[in-house]
Amino acid sequence: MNPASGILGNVVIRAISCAVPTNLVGNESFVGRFGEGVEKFAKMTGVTRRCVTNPEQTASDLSYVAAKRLFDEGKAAPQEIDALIFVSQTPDYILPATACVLHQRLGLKKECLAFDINLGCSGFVYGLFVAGSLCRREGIRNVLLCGGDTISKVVSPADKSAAMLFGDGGFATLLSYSETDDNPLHYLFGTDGSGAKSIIIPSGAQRNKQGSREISEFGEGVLRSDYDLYMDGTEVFNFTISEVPSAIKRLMGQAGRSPENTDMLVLHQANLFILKQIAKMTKFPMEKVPVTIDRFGNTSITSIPLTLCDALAANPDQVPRRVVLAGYGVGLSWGVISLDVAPYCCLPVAYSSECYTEGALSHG
Amino acid sequence: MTIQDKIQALEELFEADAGTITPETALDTLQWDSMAMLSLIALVNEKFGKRLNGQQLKALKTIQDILAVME
Repeated sequence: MNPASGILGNVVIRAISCAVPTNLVGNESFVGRFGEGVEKFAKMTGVTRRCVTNPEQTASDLSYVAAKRLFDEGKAAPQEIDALIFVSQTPDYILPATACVLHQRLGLKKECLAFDINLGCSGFVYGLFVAGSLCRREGIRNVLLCGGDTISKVVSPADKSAAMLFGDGGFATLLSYSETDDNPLHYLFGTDGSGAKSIIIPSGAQRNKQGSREISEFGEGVLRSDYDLYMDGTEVFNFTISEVPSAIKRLMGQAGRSPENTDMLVLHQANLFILKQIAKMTKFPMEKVPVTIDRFGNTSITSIPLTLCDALAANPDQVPRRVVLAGYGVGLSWGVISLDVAPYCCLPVAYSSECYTEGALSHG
Repeated sequence: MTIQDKIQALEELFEADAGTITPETALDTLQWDSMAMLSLIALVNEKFGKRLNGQQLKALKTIQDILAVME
């Protein structure tokens, strides 16, 4: 049986850029609705505030700002991009692919691939693997991996389990072909589709056309409609502790990494309790597990690049850091990658309220 | 794990003083919230290789119910 893991060489990350909305929402604004539950929630998840989009602002708006910044900083010119990938669960439209919208907005050349990938918490790790694999193909040298999610827009404000958890964000990462093959990237992936309903928005696409928009109670303090995100916290936690630490340990074994010779374990920021649990099970001290969920919430696909930029952008030296990245969640899906990242590739996190007004359309 | 070890682990989990928890203790007299539930899932997974689902968690009423799972 193939292990869905291996080595990918001749690829280098040249830049990582992230953008979050300017609009800050603190937990205190929920005290009226959830009372004492707010404090308990903060203690377990670690979330104190999040950045939330305006009604018109989308994930691609945030990703656009991140990509524009990367071009403005001279990391690449738009004409050098041979492929654009957009990873998201909250696209601009049901169709076309958001990558095509971003392609024209960023002024990329016509000789360019552009496509979307629908994944969440594991999506950044997947994106790195897909973009890195593309870099090695004939006729492709530079790949712009974009993505983002606005989960705040698909959560019921009356759902105690989710309303305060998710923040919005977008990112852009530049990967290029490299002649040298000194520091290959190691990867490992897994999927358990039997958990597809553990994190789900049932209606809004083709399967449940007649979903109820009525808000009803799904459990204590959980009020939602069929168009809102549903998450079975117990199942997701069970999945996480049974699959993720073992996947990290296996990947690190293959890559010759240990907690001692690794600078950082960058985890998807699911919630603080889960981060601590994974750190304990993989024998990483928390000093090597950077945390951003406290200030940005769970930003879905953006959480790993956001945590990298937050941890590394302040001291932009050129010394490569040995990092292990692990994304896990909706699908259920997981991916682990080990690679080297130099801090000067990571741009400081940008704040933006910019919207693409030309994107608004209606038949009315 | 002896029964004393298990009770001690549960006292730590519930942040209760040593000697205050007995098999008869009702969970609704303790901090039996979502954090305690996740901690219990992690404990049972780590020490006994078992998976507890939402229904099983809801059915737990006393420390004795938890001890029955810790085997």
